[in-house]
Amino acid sequence: MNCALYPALPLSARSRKPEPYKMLKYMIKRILLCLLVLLGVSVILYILVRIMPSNFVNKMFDSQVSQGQLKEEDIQRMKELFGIADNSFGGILKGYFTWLGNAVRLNFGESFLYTGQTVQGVIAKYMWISFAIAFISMILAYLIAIPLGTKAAVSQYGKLDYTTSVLAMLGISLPSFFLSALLIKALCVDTGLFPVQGISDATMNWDGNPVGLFFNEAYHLVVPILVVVILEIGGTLRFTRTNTLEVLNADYIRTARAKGVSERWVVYKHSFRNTMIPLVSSLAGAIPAMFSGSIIIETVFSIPGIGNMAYKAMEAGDIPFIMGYNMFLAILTVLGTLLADLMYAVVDPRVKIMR
Amino acid sequence: MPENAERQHRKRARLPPETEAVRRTVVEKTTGDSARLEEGLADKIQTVSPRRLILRRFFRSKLSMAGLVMIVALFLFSFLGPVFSPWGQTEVDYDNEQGRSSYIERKIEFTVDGATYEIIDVARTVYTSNYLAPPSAKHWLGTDLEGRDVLTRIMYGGRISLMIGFIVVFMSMFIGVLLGGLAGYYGRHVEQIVMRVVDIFNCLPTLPLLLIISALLEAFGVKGLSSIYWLMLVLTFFSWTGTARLVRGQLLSLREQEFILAAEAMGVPPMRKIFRHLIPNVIPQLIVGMTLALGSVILYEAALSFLGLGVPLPYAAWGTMINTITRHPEILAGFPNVWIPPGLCIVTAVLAFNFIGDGLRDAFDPRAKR
Repeated sequence: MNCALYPALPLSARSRKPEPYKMLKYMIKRILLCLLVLLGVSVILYILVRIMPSNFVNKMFDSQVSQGQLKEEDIQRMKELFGIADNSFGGILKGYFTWLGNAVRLNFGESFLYTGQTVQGVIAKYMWISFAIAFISMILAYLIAIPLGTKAAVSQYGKLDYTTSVLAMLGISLPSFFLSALLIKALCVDTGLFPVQGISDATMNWDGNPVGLFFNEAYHLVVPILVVVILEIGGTLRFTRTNTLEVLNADYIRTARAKGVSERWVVYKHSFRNTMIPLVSSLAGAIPAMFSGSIIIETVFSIPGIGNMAYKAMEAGDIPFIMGYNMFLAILTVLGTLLADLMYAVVDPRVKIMR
Repeated sequence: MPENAERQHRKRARLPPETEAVRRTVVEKTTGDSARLEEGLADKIQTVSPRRLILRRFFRSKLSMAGLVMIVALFLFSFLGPVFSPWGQTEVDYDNEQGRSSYIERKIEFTVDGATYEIIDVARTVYTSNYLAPPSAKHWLGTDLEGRDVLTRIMYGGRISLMIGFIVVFMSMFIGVLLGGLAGYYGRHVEQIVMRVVDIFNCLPTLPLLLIISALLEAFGVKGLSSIYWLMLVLTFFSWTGTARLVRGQLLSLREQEFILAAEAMGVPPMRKIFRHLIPNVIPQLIVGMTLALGSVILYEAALSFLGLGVPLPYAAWGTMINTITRHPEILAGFPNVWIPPGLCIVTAVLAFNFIGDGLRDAFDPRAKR
């Protein structure tokens, strides 16, 4: 469910005003719209998070209340301290505006669960491991998918095309948790080639041994990265194939063939560079999403990435962190679509901005 | 006209096999026999409707046929299968034929008249259920942790997963067509409002929000079957935007065409124009979108169930059945018969819907070569 905010940039043949000015105006309009969208997202999120009846304080201290160590007044005072005591409409409204006032100053508050740390601090600390997984697997997936997709398109309806199509479809259809479980069983449990869980061997002391730690972490991340690569190849491969097919039907390809350019040169020079236009813009759009982490894969492999932290926070009812994380995701989505559209205009000189 | 000549003429005229009607007319005309032409036209012309062309293209594609076979098989398996199964969805096999039992030892010390006695109390628990049985003639895929038949549960899980998929897709298509239709036809303010709402929904992170809402439902005490209905509503809530965007985009260009001008001149009311004249033109894209959406809804439902927040436990769903490996690593390692078959079912269902959707897209596309 991540589509562009606008289908594509509108094309125009001629523009009277100078280009940079139009670009600026367009960008400002887009950014203002994005802010409006983010505001809407935050309202929906805040309401959902606040109407949860069993909140963080209840979950943490209910056992102590039943044992008589804490009284109801203490709980009430604690809730006031956390700012979640008043669950009436007015209270939620007030809470929202307090949150919003802080959020525009980039202060997302202090996490309930990860005590003593600000939400933005926790996100900044744990997102890099998620980014590393996403980045490495993205590069690997593109390195495999683009040549294969091009080859498949060139030999359309051939053996290679059918094989890659079926495999790509399989990659798209695999649930990430099932693939993770299969690979854990095959590569970690049965053969013992790779560790089952975690990011580094906890039994060893890595102080003063950063190189050893790095290799240990890389060793732990092999299987998760493999999972992401397999899941990602399918989509990229099909995308490359469709684009190449479209470009190969274009008039300038016929012209190139007509003037006697060799087939290799047609495919890898004339067609390939045009195939790259949508690929590059989609890649640019995917960069922000790399920071978001994957809840399922990080939970299954117990990797301390941002997705895993968010899952734990959601289980605990940590309101500031849930808000902060989800707004972080929404901002990444908005940034992604903006970047993808911008890259379209940068990569393809035919695209001009109209509005 | 001799058979051979006709074939040769076909070759010369390079007519595609689909344009049956045109070819016949051309054949008749070239023979120059006008009398035969007049009497022959009525019974000789076979008009091939676009629908039949589409079906022909669809059935010619191997992948879409494979998808269709897979889906029909899955439907038969999950809707007819339980009729033949001796086990029920939540029925536990209480026959402890493996005779498994466990011992708990407790040491009790007490002192009587200065002498210390030590008693070892042994409690033997005989398990009453045939849990985690290996595949056998009685349980083809063995039993799960509670002693329920895995194969039967996969059938019931298929019922729930497929049903959720279809209902969610139909409901979200209804909302999407309605809102997208209004936005695309009226434009201006209506479009602005609808499309901004769509933008907001697209920016909402789906999986985290589904987790929050599931926790919310749990907190409000929604249990059992009603939580499945809620799950459908929530999934619908998050999946209508794609349809709305598609319908609106198509209507933007369709509403400028002449047939709408004609409808306008005839005084057709706007609602009739939208839903009788415009929407039928979007149906091919809608069908393709719905088929592909079926796969993604099933994936989302499975992911939620896997995290323990989808279909609740006494009921079987494919994702819920795999969920046991998160709490019991020994099942992941030692009992693949419990969790691999439901996973394969998810893959089969999603793959089949993707194959069919892809085949339909190619079949609907008039530019497609094959």
